[in-house]
Amino acid sequence: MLTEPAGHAHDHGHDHAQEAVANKVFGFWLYLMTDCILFATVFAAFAVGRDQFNGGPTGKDLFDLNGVIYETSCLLISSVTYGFAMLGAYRGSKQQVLLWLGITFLFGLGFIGLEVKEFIHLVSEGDGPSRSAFLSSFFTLVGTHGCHVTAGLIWMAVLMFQLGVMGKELTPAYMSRLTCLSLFWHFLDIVWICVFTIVYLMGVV
Amino acid sequence: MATRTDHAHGHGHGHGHGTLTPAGAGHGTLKDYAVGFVLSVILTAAAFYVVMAHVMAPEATVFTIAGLAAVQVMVHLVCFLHLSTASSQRWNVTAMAFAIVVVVVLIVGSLWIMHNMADHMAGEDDKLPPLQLQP
Repeated sequence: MLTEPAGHAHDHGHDHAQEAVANKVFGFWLYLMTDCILFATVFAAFAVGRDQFNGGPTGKDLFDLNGVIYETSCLLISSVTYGFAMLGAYRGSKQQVLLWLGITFLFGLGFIGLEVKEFIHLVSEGDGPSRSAFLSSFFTLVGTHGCHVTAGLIWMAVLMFQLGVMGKELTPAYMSRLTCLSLFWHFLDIVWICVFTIVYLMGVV
Repeated sequence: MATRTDHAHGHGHGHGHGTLTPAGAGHGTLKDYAVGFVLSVILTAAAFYVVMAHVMAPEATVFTIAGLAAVQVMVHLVCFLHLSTASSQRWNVTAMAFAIVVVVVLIVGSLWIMHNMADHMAGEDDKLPPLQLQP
């Protein structure tokens, strides 16, 4: 904004609002970087524990890659549909934001459903987090990611409620929330790339 | 910025297209998302194919899928998070570069320490159990 001279005195308030939004979004970006470090610690724990099976099952015995393909597809598609929600918001269309957020929510819910199903299956077979260091670190890493996605879904539901039920408009304040969640959602998709590569794919190689 | 096409929000200041595009993050286009999606599908499919079809030796497979993941992370950063070398993005990129340094120190440091500890604590006979000891 500094490079654009304000044409009117009128533009000053507008610049302040714009700058406040930029600061919020950048602040959220810094939070995401600290979240990166949280994920790095659980990845480090997994890297240390990934071959400590304690005589129990290995990734080869446990992982169903077809399920992981469905999970990955859900998350990747939801990333793009969130992008469409942002494009709708730039155009100022509440209907499009609601429609695409709803679709994104369903795909995110599908991802969580598949993950919970996998966890329940593992625990019911006696391969829960207390079976071995490998499974402890597996549940910690994948569970931490799943908790983040769940938090993102709750946040998304709140944003849809505000727009659809409470009748909020696409104000700068609302746009900053929508943009922060988009950063969060795309960030979780990036973490998932590392999860499916390091945990699942490298686990069965 | 000077065009005021949307007064419906009634906030006293302009709500042109620019207002709806918060700074502090890049602004994506339909093309960004389409390109990102197609590249991601190709890279993900390639990684799963290499592993599931056993097309190469295990070591080569690990390096290949690590490379594919690194490329896909870059694709997501550019196409979905709209990170760029633009001056408006400089602080975002700086913060990320610092985070990457911390992440590398954490992961490499943990592996190094735990590897040394395993070497020093275990005798020749009771090293951490290799795969073939499983029942």
